[in-house]
Amino acid sequence: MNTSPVSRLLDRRGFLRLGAGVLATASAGFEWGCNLTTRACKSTPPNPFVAAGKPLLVVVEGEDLGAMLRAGIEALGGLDPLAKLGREAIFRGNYVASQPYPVTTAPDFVLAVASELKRAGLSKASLFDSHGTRLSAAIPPEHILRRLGVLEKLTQGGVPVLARDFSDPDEFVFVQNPAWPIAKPVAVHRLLHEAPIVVSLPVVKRHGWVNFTCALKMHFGSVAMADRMLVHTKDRDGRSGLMQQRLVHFADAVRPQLNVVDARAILARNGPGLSGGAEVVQGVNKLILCGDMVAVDAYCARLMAQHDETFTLDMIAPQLKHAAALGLGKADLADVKVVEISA
Amino acid sequence: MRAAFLAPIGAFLFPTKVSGGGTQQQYRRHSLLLWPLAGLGFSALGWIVGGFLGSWAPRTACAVGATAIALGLLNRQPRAALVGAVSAGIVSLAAVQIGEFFFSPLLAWPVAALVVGVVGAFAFRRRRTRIAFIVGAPLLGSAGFLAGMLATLLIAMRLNDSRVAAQIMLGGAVGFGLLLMAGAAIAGRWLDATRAAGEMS
Repeated sequence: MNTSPVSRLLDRRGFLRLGAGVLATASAGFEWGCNLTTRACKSTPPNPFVAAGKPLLVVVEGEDLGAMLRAGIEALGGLDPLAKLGREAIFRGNYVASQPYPVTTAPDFVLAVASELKRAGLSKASLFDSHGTRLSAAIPPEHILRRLGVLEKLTQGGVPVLARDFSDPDEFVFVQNPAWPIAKPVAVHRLLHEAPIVVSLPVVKRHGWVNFTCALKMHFGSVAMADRMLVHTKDRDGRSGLMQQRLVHFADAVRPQLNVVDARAILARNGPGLSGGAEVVQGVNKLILCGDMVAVDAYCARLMAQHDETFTLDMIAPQLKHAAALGLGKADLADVKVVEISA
Repeated sequence: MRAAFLAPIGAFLFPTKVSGGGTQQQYRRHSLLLWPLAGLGFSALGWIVGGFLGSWAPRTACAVGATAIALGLLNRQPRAALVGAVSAGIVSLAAVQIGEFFFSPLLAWPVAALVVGVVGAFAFRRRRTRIAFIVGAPLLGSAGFLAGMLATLLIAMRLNDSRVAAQIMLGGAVGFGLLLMAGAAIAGRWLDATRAAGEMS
């Protein structure tokens, strides 16, 4: 009988031991991947754009995008507080569908904000988006950006585009805030978690399930498809309240330092795409700049209510209340210094 | 009564323990418990190790390569294990690259299963078993992959946990290894069984 080490390894008992070892290693790896890497949400400095202790919200009305943006930044006190946080910024746009502004963030708007950041001393600003996967040739991560021409325009304009796979587990970190009522971590994109400066560039839209999407809801695009899918399957019609809570947690996982809302036009009646009776309202002609994303949504919800009689403020009251309770910002505009200017 | 009920199950899962010899000795190498478990563990480990090398392509290559190693080692053919692992890994890498432009990189799984099936078929004695395994391997690999993904998704939904949902592809890899190796065990146990104990090598 052959009793060499190799044959002992390959006999039934030896192989059972080997298999047990392999299983233990795989389990350990899985455990490591699943549990041990859950971290706290990113820590961000307090909102740098404040006046008399209140978050400063600047509303600029006008028709010249560049002039509006410059006036808004000046009213905000300049972008120096951002430049102190780092040299590079990441933009979060809204690219949920291959449909132009106001369904998605306009590329000329991204370029204009990038130009202002560079004037403030930042060396680089990149656009981050994650609405696709390399697991399908039909929906690679950059497919929407490419179809809209955003990829080409931004690359030519000196703003790199970081299109990431929404299902690749290596792209994410699991974060959790003990204050969340749902004690489950959120898989937020690593790039956003580690970026020193995140600037959010929302559009103002109605949403079929959660009624409204702007500075908070847009962070559905900041987390893994796994999280998006779980919320959509557990709260199909948005009535259980899970989606209203979870979208706040997704925003909490990103915490942008500045929100610049492009409300030159808004999407009323339905959304987040053009189908289902959605209506583009032109001529709103406003930009909203604020470091507080809850205040931004509180203000933009009022803007929506002015242009869409099917929308009421109580439709988003639960998400604003939850966000304020978690310390993400001020839901009551009485606690916000609103500055309205024209340019 | 209970023993009479359990005896056939024991004979099915652990034939050598029941028979101790005779014609059932030929089943010794194809335990229906050990082979799928080995496939499950090896492909999972391959997937995790592949994660240290990169994204979908290395993960897929390592998972299918590890499954081929498990098959070769259980067949006591270390060289076939090496050949199977290398060829399955290379073919799956190529399939992932092609799949990124045509349909999906998930094409790599049935293609790699076919390669594992071809290399693994040499371990069987009978031609019908070899053909059955070569034909069945891509189907079993694909079915296992889909079943593994579905099972992970259902568990994730049940637990409402994105940590589990994020591992859907790992679940697919596990299902691939499990079903492919179960298929090999079943083919070896029933299709490849010789009628006389003396035919055993």
